[in-house]
Amino acid sequence: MDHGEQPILELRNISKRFGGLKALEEINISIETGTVHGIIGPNGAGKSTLFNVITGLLRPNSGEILLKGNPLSHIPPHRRIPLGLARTFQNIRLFKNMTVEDNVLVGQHVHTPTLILSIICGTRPAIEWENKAKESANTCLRRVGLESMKSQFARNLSYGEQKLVEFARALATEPELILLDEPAAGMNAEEKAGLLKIISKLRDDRYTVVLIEHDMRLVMEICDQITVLNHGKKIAEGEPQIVRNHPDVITAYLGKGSNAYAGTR
Amino acid sequence: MERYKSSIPTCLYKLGFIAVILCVPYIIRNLYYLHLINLIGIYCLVVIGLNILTGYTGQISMGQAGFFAVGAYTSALLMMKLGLSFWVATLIAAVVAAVLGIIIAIPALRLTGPYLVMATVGFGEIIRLILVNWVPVTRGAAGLTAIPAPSLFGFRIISEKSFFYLIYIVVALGILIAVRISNSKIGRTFIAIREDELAAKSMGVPTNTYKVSAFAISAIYAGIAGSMFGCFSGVASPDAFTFNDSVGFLCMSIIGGSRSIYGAFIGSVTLTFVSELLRFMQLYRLIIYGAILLLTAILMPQGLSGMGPVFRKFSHRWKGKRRLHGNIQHSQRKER
Repeated sequence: MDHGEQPILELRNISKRFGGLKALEEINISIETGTVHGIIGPNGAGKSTLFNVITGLLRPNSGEILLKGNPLSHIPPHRRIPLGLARTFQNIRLFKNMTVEDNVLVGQHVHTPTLILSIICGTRPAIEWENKAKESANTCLRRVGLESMKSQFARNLSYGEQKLVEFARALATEPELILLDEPAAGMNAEEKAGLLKIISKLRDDRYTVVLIEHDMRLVMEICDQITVLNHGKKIAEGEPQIVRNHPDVITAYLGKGSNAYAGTR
Repeated sequence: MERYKSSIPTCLYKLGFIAVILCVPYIIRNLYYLHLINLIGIYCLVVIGLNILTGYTGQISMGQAGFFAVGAYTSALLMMKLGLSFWVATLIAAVVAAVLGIIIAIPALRLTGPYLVMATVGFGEIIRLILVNWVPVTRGAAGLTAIPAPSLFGFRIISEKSFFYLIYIVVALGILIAVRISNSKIGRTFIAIREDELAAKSMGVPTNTYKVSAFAISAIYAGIAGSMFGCFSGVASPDAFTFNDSVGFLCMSIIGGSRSIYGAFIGSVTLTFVSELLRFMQLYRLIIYGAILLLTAILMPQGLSGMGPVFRKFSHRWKGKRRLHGNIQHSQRKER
C-alpha cells in the first residue's frame, strides 16, 4: 500500500435518499491506488447504490466524489469513462445479441475516434483504428481467458463466462479504477479461483479494484481494505482481519448475541 | 479488414451481378413492371434508413412517411418555385429532413417502446396535416403537379428506363454507405444501444448523440427517396404520405429483416409485389399484411434476410452430408 499518495477515489459525506429511505448516509471512503477494496454488507445495505452514485447513474443528495482529486459531481455518466472509471453490473448487462468481441469493442468506444467520412468512404484510417481496437479488445479477452470465445454470441455463454465478458468489456475502457458488482455471484469454485487470479494480476499491474461481493472467503483472501455498509451507513473499515472480528460487523451479519461465534468464522 | 479484400471469383460474381442489374431495363420491357421495380428502389432507400433506426438502434418509427413527404415536397417546391436543379434540391431536401429528424429525436430521447411509436405516429400525422392545410405553399389536398424531371448534362431523366438508372445508382450508393456504417464502430454502437442502453452509457457511449444521429440518418434516406419519388411520379399529394405508408415501410423492414441492410431490399421487393398481386382484393390487403407480419414474427423473427443460414443448411443437406461441415465453416467465415 502506498500511503501518502493521493487516493484514487475519495467519497466525502455522500448521502442518497429514495423518498424516506436513506440508502446512503454520510459515507466517507478513501481508496488508495493499486489496492483491492472490498465493499460488503447485508442485502439492501446500499452497496449497489454506492456504485451507481460513483458512476453517475444516480446523483447523490449531498456529498462529493473525487477521482484523482477532481470532483465528479457534474460530469455525466458517459464522460466519466475516459477519466478512468469502469464498472460491471450485478445482474449481467451484456449486449446479448452481439459477439463477445463486439461487446468488448464497445468498451473501446471512447478510445477510438469516430471518423465518419473515412468510414463512409472505406478509407485506411477507419480500418486501421478498427484493427487497433480489435487488438486491444483481444488483449482484454486474453486477460480474462476468453479469447477463444470471441466470435460466440454473448447470449450463448455460461453465466460465469458472461460475468468475465463484462469484466473484459470494463477493462477495454482502459480504466484505472474498476468497480465490480458481485463478480463471483453464480460462479463455480473453479471459476472463482480464476477470477481471484485475474484480480490479483490486475493489482500487480497497478489497477485499482473496488468490489462488492458476498463470497466472504474470496473477499477476505483478495482485499487489502474492506468497508462494511449496513442500512446505508458505514459500520466498519479496515484490513480483512480487523473487519472480520469487528463486533458491529458480526452483529450486522449474524444478529445480536452472536459475538460468541466470532472466533469460529 | 479482410472483408474488403475479395478474391478474383467473388470479384467476377460482383461484376456479373452489376452487369445483370444494368441490363434489367432491357430484359424487362414491360413498363408496368419497370415502374414497380423503380418504386421498389425508392421504397428500399426509405427502408434502409428505417433499418438503421429501428433494426440497429432499436428506435421504432411509424412516422417515416413524414420524412418521405418532407423530402418530396421540399425538393419539388425548390425546383418549381426557385428553379433549382434536381441535384441541389435533393441535397437541400436531405438536409431539411435531417434537421426535422433531429428535432423529432430530441423529445423522443425520453421515450421508449410504445410511447416512442405514438410520438412518431404523431409526427407523421402532423406533417400530413401541414401538407393538407398549408394551401398557399403545398396546394392542399390537390398536391403539387407537374414536378419537373431531373436532368443530367442536358439529358432529361424522364423515361422509366432512365429513372431506373438514377434510382438504382442512388440505391447502390445508399446500400454501400449503410453497409459501411453498420459494419463500423458506429453500427456497433447503434446495436449496443438497442441491446442495453444503460450498459452502453456505462461504457462511455454518448447514447443521446447516437440516437439523434440514427434519426437523422433515417430521415436523410427518406428525404432523398422522397425527392426522387416526387420527380418520378411527377406529383406529390398528401394521400401518398399517410400513416398507412409508414406502416408499409415498417412492414417491409420487418419482413425483409430489420437487422440487415440487404433486408431492406428484400422487404421492399416482397411487399411491393405482394401488394400488387393483391390489388384485386384491395379491401383485404391490410388483413393479409397483418397475417404476413404475424407469420414473420413467429416463423422468422430475423425476417427473410435472416433465413440465409437456414436455406444454406437445406441446400447442403441436399448436396450431401460429406461436404456439409466444411461448407458451413466456409460460409461462417464469409459472414464475419
